[in-house]
Amino acid sequence: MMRLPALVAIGLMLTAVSAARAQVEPPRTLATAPSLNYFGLPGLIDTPTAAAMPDGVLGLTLGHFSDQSRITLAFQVLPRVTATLRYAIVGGGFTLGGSQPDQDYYYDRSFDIHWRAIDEGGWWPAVAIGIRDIVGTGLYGSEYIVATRHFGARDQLAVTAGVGWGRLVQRDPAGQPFGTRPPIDSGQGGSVDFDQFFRGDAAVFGGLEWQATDRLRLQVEYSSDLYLEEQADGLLSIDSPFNIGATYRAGRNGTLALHYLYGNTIGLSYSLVLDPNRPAANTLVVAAPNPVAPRTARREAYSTGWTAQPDGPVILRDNVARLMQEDGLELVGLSLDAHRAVLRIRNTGFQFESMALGRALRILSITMPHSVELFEVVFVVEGMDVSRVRIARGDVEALEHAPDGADEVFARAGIEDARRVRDPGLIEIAEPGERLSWGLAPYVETVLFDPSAPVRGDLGLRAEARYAFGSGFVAEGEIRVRMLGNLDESQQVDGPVNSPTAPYPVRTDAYLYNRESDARIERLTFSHYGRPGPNLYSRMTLGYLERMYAGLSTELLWRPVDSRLGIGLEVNHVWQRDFDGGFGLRDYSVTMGHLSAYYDLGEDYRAQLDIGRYLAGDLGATLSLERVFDNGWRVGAFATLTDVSFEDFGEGSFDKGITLEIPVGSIAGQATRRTLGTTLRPLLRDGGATLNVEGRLNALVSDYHGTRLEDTRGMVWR
Amino acid sequence: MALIPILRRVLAAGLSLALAACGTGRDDPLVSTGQGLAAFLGRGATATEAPAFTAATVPPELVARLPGPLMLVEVPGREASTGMTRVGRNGDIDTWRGPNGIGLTLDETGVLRSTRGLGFDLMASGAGPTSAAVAARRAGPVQREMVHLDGEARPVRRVYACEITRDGADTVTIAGRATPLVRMTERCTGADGYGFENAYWIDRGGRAIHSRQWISAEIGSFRITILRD
Repeated sequence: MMRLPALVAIGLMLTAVSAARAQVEPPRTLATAPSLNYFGLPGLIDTPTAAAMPDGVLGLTLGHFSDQSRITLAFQVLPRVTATLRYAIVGGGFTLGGSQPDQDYYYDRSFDIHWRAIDEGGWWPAVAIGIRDIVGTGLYGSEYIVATRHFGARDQLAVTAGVGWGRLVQRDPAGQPFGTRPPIDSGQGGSVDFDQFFRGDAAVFGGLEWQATDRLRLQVEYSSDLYLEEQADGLLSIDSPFNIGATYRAGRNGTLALHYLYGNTIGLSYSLVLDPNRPAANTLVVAAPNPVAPRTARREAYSTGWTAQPDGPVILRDNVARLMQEDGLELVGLSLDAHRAVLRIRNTGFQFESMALGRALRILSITMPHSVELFEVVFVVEGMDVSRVRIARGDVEALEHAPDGADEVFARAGIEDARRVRDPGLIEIAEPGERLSWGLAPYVETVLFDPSAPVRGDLGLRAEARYAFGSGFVAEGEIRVRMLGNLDESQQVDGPVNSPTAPYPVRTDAYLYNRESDARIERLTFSHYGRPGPNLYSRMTLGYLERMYAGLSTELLWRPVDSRLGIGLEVNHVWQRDFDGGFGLRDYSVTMGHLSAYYDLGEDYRAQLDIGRYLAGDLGATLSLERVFDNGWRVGAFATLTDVSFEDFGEGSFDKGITLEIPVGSIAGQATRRTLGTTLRPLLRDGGATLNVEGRLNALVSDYHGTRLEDTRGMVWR
Repeated sequence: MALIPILRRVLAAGLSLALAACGTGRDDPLVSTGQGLAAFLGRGATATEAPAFTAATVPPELVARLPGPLMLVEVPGREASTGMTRVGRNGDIDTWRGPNGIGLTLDETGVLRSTRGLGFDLMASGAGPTSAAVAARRAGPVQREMVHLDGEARPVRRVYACEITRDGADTVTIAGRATPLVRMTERCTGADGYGFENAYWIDRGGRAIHSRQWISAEIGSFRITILRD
């Protein structure tokens, strides 16, 4: 996984790629492709509507007006539920609550939920309920109930009216339908302010949106938000409750918006909407594979004389190896007898695992002598035999062109633990296991929300090398040399926690590593991967595991190929590394690790529960939920609670965040297993912090287990 | 069966001329599959000076010089074309491949069954009834099934109701030679109302040696001419 901390970089890259593609578009109406407002949620300009994005869609919105910038990532978690994570950067010496500014920018990170409770139907409008800034410090804290009704043959006109609480009530309160609102206990943030929601004064807001042309939309709204805190610090003045705006869809996924706000201000925003259900994945352009070579039908048995041919193994190996190279696969080994062939492959290129399977089966049909009736493909990952797919040669021949060929392959094939049966031993060919790979490339590193600069970054050069040998041994390392940038001026992003019992700064010290190293050893490890028993996988990694920690990491995973459940145990002992990125270690060390349960919830959802000890020695548990699309896109959320008290944790109260992983293949249109991944945390703290180590087993092996192979079956004959 | 060396020989023998017209330049087209396709579908011959070959303009000398079965595939509206050779046969379905990593399969009648290497490929089709009607030059209703992939790469199977009509004799110029053929049209409509149209020009043997066939909503149709079988 390539770590790319800058969410924005992913967004830009996607725009560039998507703009280059022409696709057939489903109709976009106000109802099916709602506009995103300054809060990055379905809405008009600065107020919400009751719309929802299509299921699974991601929306990235960048908005700016009056010294306030907001970056929002919205995800349509379920057909009716939208969740967002927002970063706001407020300049102009703004502080919450009128205290003296102690930094150049005020940062606010907030999390919202928008639930479309009632769908539009008949004369009924759609109705949505939303809570903004559920767990934050309350700058954007507000709640609303909003109704939207579309008019026109193609839903060209949308009329919205709503009732708001919290900051949406600053203008003309209209009474307190659900009782008084208690004062904000801003304190540490991070806890859900249940007693606040929908309490206190309520006010009305609303507006109209009109789809003028295919690309142009016009909005007018009445906002009940008076920006009292922002006005107090002189960021803007509110001359009018009316906002007007126009949005223009630029390219396939992007929308530009220009607004005239609050009677005196111009605002700009850009939103990028990505639909994992309709990525460029379908345009994955990979050369046509070698076709199946069927045998000529005959009545008597095929000759097995070839098994005695002295140069037979060499010829077979050369043919298989050549075709595999053409098709983008790596040969690990081949073993066969007169009737059965086992091909061991390493899939380094295909993000859709079944694509590697389909190509391997076709190569077997081209190369294997006719008496071989049974084909088996074993997927090898880091030297571990993971899964074995078995299918009759006649089925491969019969299904290549069949309309139901993709489904039928998996209906007829058996998938099992590669270790369950012995391989035929008549002819055994093993490729040498040594593989050296290396690379030299530039890197970009960014840090967002440094107290004195919203974005800091470095540009540098990284060199990496990896040597795999024996059965499952890997030695690898990466060195980074900084060329230019300003990360060496970094400051602690989220400030120190003023508590004598606060945890050791296991992660908040990260900025010191940027300040004190120009060149560094990013990683330098020696690992072993193995199969200690049926359904069992093991990993041992020793060395400089990540930028901040070095030590030993061990892992054991139990995961049958056809099981929804996997159980893992990870135990690590690590020392904190010196800030200069060299070989030195600091005094801090910890033994930590987790017992983990991985569970496939069905549909696209997966859950993971980790219970154990974290980097700061705190005890607790992490629950992660992830939506894994069949095309490899992953969007997830996690939360960790440990015995570090909310006070000692500091602002944010507990660790939580959103994870996003995008297969490079789906945006670059090429076959590659690389992914772009990022973890977004509202705040990086020391409680509930985990170790970053490469090669965690569940991610490595579950790609080749039954569920994933079948989920990607559509690509088997591609 | 060494397929690639055969293709390489074919290319070396002269199709590289046709390739230059497709915009792949002097790169080894089997290496630069990705870029090749982008050029093929994206810019086509508009980026180069020489116009792409069409069924009418492909030089007979070039066809004569190349060994084995040969097919010309044109992208209507894009001024792009590529040559293809046959690389496999499974049952009554032939697999053809071009130098850009693009592959097509046709059945014995010449009805397109699948494509590869285009991105929005036609994964497979059940077109037996169409094939039988075309081979017999018989008008009437048929059903066909087409399989594409959705954005999550899951197979989507759609059944289309089609009407085949016999349009009568039509002379088509193939490699400079006027060839008398019978034209038939297949008009298909899916359950979602989405439709497409295929045209077949059939020789005396009941084979559509020239055709315009639909692949997918995103790709559109290809014009396919079997130059030699």
